[in-house]
Amino acid sequence: MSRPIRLMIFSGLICLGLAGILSVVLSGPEGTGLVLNEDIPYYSLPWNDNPFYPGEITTSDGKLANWETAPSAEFCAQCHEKEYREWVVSIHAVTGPDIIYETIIEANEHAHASRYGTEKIRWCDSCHEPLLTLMGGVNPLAVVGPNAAAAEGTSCVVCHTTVHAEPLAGNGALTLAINNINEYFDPALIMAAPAEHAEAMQSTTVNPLLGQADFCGACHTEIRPPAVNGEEPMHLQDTFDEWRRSEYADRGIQCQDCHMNPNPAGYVAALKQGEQPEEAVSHRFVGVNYLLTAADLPDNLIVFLRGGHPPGDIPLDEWRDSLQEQQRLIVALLQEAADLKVEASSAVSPGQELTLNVTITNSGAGHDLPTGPRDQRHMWLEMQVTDALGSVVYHSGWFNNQTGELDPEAVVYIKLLYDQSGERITEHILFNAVRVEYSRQPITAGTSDTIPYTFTLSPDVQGPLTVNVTLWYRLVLQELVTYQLGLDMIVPPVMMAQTNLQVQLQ
Amino acid sequence: MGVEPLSPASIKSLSQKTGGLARYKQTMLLMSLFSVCFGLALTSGLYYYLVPHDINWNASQMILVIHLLVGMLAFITIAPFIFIHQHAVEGRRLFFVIPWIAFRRREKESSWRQGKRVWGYLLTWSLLALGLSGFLLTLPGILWYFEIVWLPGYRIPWTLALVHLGAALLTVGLLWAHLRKLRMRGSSS
Repeated sequence: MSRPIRLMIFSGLICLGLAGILSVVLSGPEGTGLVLNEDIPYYSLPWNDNPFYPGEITTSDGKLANWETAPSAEFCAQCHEKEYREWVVSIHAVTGPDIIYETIIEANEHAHASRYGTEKIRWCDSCHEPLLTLMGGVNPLAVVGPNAAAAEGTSCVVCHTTVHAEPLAGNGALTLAINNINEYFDPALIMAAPAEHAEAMQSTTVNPLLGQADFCGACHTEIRPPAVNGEEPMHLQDTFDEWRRSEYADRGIQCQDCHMNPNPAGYVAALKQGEQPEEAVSHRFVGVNYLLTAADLPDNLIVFLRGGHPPGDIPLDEWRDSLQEQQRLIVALLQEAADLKVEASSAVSPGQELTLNVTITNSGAGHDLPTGPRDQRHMWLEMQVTDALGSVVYHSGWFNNQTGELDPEAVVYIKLLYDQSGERITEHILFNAVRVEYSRQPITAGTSDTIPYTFTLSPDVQGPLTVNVTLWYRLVLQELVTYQLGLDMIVPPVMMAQTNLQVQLQ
Repeated sequence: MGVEPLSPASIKSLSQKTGGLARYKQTMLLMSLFSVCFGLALTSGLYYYLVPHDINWNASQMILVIHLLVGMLAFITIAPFIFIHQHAVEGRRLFFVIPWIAFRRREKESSWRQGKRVWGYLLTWSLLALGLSGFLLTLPGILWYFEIVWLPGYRIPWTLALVHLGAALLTVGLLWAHLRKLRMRGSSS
């Protein structure tokens, strides 16, 4: 055997010995999790030993996340700038800090002030402020923080440390291995061995859960537990279950396929035509919140609504432009969700009764229309019939742009919540809801709802009649904006679909 | 008995001989250094690749650091060695730019010599692929120290790592074949 080969074998053996010694001598990385009472004092546990209850979020080791070490999106953005710039205009970036949520949380907390109101917020914050919840920050006494990541809402590490999801349990039923993010000697090593980092941060190649609807379902399922109020759990959001029962689930189309596509409306349009579009990923998470992306609101209102300036070093002009683009994507997606058709039942003469059937088809959403917190998110039909002279013959579903008032007789798809005294809850005080009913059942994926409109024509009406039908979507009720947020602004509706018809009179 | 002074021709001949010996010693020193570094780099690389990191994350990261250091050292030692060795044995370096000349049998060249030469060339290219892929793998990390973020995309480092591993294994085989040819000559003569 030649000398070089002998030397190589010798040094190889030395290396193996060294590796063995290192494995024994060097201790493995210890988890960064914190222990209740030892590390986090005065933490309130009114119901059981689970520090996150009544939320369902948890950590893989059961310990609290370390508020001193959890990395912020700004930290991740050092390398993942593209993903950061997409995320920073998403709603996930403001699930916690947005002023609508913050205000509602305070109202709910106040409503149960003497009944563990703060602790009950863990139910909401499990999804809205997951890191703050895991850090033990949702407590009557502030015993942790501050932490930049906790203030960011649903930031990078929330999803990218998730190792398990229970979508039907909901209420943020995710298990985060956040206390086991391996410590690197230096970020340069991450760059030199990115596969390790990808593995540690649950990339979809390593953890397919990140690309599956189950993952989203953990938060897009909201069930109020009896610990918060009532004798029985109250289902308040079932978007995941709606998807699970739909044809989309059978076809294997996941939430991420549409909502994380760079062009969600284009993706849905292609699906509707029976195509199988190419998959692509964007961290914009396009949904329906066209209000928190309205960068053109006057007086810098968008900064107020989103709870302040964005984290990281994105220039504000670029942020606003990107928000506008986000809003454009949202509106385009909403306009792909439904199709509208109007038909006259039979020939009619002046003075007779006219019946117009409007059919809404949920043709593009993989869940009900509307979905989500349906006591606020609502859609309605507007029908306006004009005669040959342009006079309005019939009008249903009008919306007053000055007051935000909606026609009380309109066909509205909304969930009606009532409190103990039978009063309707219009400001999202979910803690107090005792009864739920629908003004009209939501339209499940792939199905239609037909609404008959019947009215009597005046004897002197001149044909032909022009029928304009519009399906409107609105993010929140005006009561919430005016009374809860105290804002002097009207949240405009977004047109989802529109159609028209000419009716000849005999 | 007096010593006869050396003639200028003898002095030149002797200095050439001793200079050659010194160069040989330097070359062998480089070869030995490379052998040690390559052995360490190969073992640490395979250890990092094959042994699950969750056994001891800190140890695996230390092994990665060792691998990077000895890998760089191996490249630093082998590069001058190749040039010196190539110059001494062949006297031409054109094969870097016109690789096909390596395979052409030269006039009056024995098959043994041609074989040894071809193994040597293949070994050089394999080492080049190994070093280059290793350098490209570490480049984002090096750039990080200069506050430059360069993420070439997940597939590229993944492919580079495969090339690096493949080239390392190929290098072992070629090195063995190249050196075996040398020994065969030694045993036959």
